[in-house]
Amino acid sequence: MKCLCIDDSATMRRIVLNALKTIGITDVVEASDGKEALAKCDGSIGLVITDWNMPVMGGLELTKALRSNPATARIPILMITTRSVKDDIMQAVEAGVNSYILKPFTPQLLKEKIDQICSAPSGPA
Amino acid sequence: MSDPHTNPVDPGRSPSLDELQRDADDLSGTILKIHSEIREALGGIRQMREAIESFSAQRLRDTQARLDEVSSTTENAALEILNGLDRTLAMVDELQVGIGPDRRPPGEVCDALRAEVNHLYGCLQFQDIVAQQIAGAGALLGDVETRLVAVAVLLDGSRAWKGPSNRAAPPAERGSGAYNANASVRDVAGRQALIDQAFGTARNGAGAGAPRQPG
Repeated sequence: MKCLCIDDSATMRRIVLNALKTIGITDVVEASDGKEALAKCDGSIGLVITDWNMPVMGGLELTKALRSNPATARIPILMITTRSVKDDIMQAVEAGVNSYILKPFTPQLLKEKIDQICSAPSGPA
Repeated sequence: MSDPHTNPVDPGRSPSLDELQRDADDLSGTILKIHSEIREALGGIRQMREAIESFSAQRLRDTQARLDEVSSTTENAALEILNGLDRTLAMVDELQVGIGPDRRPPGEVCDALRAEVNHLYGCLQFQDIVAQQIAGAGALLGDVETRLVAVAVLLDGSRAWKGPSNRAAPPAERGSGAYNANASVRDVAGRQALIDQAFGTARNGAGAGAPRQPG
């Protein structure tokens, strides 16, 4: 499975990449904001892992953009963020985020969430 | 006609009592006027000070609280990393000593070593969280600076404000959407559990009404 990892922090991207490698996902494309991610999101991407707060285009806007495009509307989206307010969760759900992880996270939790969203019976809409 | 106000008295002549009385009255009037203006200005300054106090004090307290959290986040991460490094070195020693009756097999030690290194990777997430906390603190200070400069301009209109000081633009000025000022490492497990619960409830609640929802 090819994964698109988006975070404006290079440190976080490396940490997410390491965690993905730990759980067996090595085919990863990186982007530092939503706009760059949209340009890199082609039909080969099987999973999007995105931060929320980013310059240029944040994770929420990216999710909405992906969901509004039929070509990318079904890609599972996992958000990894520091935002934990209930309103944030509601916004993420409404935008079309499939799962949500709070930073700092562990590779085990990442695996659990990826397994959940990628094995959902009907898959992303 | 001579006017004592416009034509000074002859230096050789002493002013009359009437002239002195008039001058004293004028002076008294001027002093009263100045006194009233000073009182008015002081009243304005007092109001300004109270406004600055209520605005700035709370923000500075918030900034202090955020910087305290930066400090504790950094210290906890550093301690966690140091502990992890100690455990890593102990495992390297264990590998070096080799197989013994009470030793773990090398493969097991390598797995534990790998897990420890991955844990250290995870600890470094503090950098991202601290960066957001500092951006939040920077935004608060920027807010206070803007307010204080506005007050300074009010007090001395001749000194037009030429923008913020020459500091490098912190992330806070790159747009508040680029960071979460409330980023924290406190009780992550507890908050994640609440998020999972809220996420599940929200998704079930959204149901068919939510466009492009999975499931």
